[in-house]
Amino acid sequence: MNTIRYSLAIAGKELQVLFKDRGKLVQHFLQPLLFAILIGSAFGAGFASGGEDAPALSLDVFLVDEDSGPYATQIVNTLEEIDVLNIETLDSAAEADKRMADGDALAAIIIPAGFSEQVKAYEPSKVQVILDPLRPEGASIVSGIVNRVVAEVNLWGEVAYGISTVFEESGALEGVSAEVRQAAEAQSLGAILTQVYAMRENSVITVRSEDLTGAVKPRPKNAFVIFIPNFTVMFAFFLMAEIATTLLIEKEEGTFRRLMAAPMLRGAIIAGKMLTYTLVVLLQVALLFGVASIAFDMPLGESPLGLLILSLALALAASALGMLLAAFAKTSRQANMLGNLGGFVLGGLGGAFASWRSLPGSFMDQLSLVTPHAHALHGFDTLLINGGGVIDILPQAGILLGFAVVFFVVAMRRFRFE
Amino acid sequence: MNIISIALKDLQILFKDRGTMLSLFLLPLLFILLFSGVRYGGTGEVRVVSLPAVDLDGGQAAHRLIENINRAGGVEAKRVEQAEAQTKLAAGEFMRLLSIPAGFSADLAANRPVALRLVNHPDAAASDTEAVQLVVDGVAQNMTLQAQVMASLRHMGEMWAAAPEQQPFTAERVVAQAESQFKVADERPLVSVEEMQPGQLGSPEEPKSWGGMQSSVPSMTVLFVFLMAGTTAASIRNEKKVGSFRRLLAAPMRKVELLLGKMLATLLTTLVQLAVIFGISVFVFPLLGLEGLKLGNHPLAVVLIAVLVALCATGLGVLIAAFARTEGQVSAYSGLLLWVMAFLGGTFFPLYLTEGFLSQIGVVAPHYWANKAFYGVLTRGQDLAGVATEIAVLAGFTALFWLVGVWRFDYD
Repeated sequence: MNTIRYSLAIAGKELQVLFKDRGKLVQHFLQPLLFAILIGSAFGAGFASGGEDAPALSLDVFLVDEDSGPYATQIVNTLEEIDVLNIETLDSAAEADKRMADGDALAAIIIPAGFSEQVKAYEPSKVQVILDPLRPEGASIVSGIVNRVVAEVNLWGEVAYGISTVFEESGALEGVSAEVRQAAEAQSLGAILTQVYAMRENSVITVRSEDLTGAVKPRPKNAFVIFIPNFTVMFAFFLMAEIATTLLIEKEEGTFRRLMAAPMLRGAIIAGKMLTYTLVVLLQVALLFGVASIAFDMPLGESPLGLLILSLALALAASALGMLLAAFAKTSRQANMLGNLGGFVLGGLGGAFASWRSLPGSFMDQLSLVTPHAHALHGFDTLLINGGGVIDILPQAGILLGFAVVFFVVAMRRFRFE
Repeated sequence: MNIISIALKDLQILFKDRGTMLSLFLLPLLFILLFSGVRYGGTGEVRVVSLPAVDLDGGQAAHRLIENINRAGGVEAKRVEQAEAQTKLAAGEFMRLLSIPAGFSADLAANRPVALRLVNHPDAAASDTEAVQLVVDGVAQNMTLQAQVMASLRHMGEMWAAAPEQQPFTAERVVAQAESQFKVADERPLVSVEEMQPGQLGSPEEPKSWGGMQSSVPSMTVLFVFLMAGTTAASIRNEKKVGSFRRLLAAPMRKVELLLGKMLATLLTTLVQLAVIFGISVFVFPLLGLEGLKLGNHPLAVVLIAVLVALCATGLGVLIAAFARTEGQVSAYSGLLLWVMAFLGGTFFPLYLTEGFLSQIGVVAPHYWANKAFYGVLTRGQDLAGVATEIAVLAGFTALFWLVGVWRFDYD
């Protein structure tokens, strides 16, 4: 009973010290909040505010039509109908090239002069695409789109050539004037076009995009649902530097020895410290999730209890890691350095900067599982994105508690109170 | 002379501190590796989204569908067995699966509606899913169009056949012509798309493959060089707190010499930092089997930008020291300021992914201009003149930081 009382007393003291330090308040609460809001809003436009049908991407593209013939116009019109492209029309290829060198767009699409004439004459022709070498992931999407649009022009070019070839071979137009021949060919092409356009009302091949259950499920529309958990988890584990440093400073300054002289169990001192930082992590989660939910409509899932259990497991794992660091670091300086380094490296490995799960099965995805971060993130995804409940996050909560126990036991064995 | 002695003293202190060494060299390199991996799957190659496909049809049209998807680029379709595919999709080993139904080829030939199923795992990245959807939709549309053209040709052929004077114009003949052309067109299109990089217009070369290093090396280096500003400010504050600053002031030298000495130390440190990180990225990464940084065609411009970045970071350090009153303020200011500016300047993710004011507000951060200048010269084929604006803005920031920092600096 006394041990609990002492632990609470220690925790109370720690919290007082902590909340008087404005720098630390900024570091623990304001900084994570600011980062999460900045990043969340940065991606917000692409996800959240665009309505249900808004594409996940908006790709800036330059378009130069130096030809203006019928086939070029067909390409331009088709491109303009594609929502993911944000097209700016430029006058010359040289201007597009210069602005691409400045990095002003992902790609420039150039239809060279004489393009339509070449297609009409059944001569191989080219549409040029300048791609930004620094953003290949976006550029390859643009190049895919251009290929698809060009393929349609190809088809019409082929049909027109086919008609004139068949006329030629059939001899049906032998001896007639060029005008009549052209008119006959145009008429046939027109007839085919009309029929095809009538048929196009009903697309023969449809592509149905669905999830594992066969339902057509929308992807998460709120960017915060990804970034807030990422930042929460990253900053929670960053606390390890702080935990270990304050513990070792107490040791270095002698207050630790004084506490030891007091009639209480050693465990109470450690428990008091852990309790403090468990609370700090819970407060961080509450603040970040609360602000994101109230100000930015981040969904909190359907299981408040699940959220509490997972956050508690995260908090315990993070504060136990701090203890572990305190047990292994020799000085407070070293603890600070290793803690910050560890925060970055484990955060990066664990997928708190960018999710490795977008590269499933990859080496990094597998490797991330050695960090508690990856499991915490997985748990938050289950709750917030997939609408899971307590049962669904028990494995992740269990693994986090397992990490906490292992860290704590090793820390207690290694830690030198004297 | 005094300036140099002060700088030497500071350098000695700095290079003895293992923590600083870590954040000067090791952390940036770790970040570079992490971030180049984040965007490119760690291979240094442009990532191609893989698309397992179950072909329940086995006909010619299904074969062409898969070939055309692969030809479109960005997506790699691979045939898999149905049972295997279902298991792997459920286990999350596959992120998506394309299912071509039985009878696909026959239905398409008869112009009957067919549906392709694209099943996505809940963990699939939204942007990948969208990319795959675009490609599959595009290929499906073109094949639809071909099927419809064939159907209408057949229809017209039948009508012509009714008119005896157009007898040579049989349906078989027209369709045969069209089929032979479509076959050739799939392999050698009438209109092709020629891809190139900036500066290659008119003299197209084989497009080079650039990986994540070209963006992560400069952006992470800029981030950590500017973080040195925090270290500088902290070192000044620490000297003030311990009292060694006051003792140095009592020495027979001018106040400004003391400050300039400290700044020289920071400048030299950041220059070494830049040289080491770039050097390792260019020479050591390839030895480790990683992708190396390519310096572009204007290495002197790279050097100039690097020197300017070092000068700018040094000035910012003194500016922070001039305005922060306590050690706590120094770490809070520099933490917030330097990370937020790096963030706004596009260090962590490409700014084109952001929208609204955030994609523009980056111009207030020197990081933005430094990144843009490096990107231009290293990868986008710019020369010094091409990045003149970026260099001018960076020089402006530098002058501002130095002037205000030295002017407002509180020596006591």
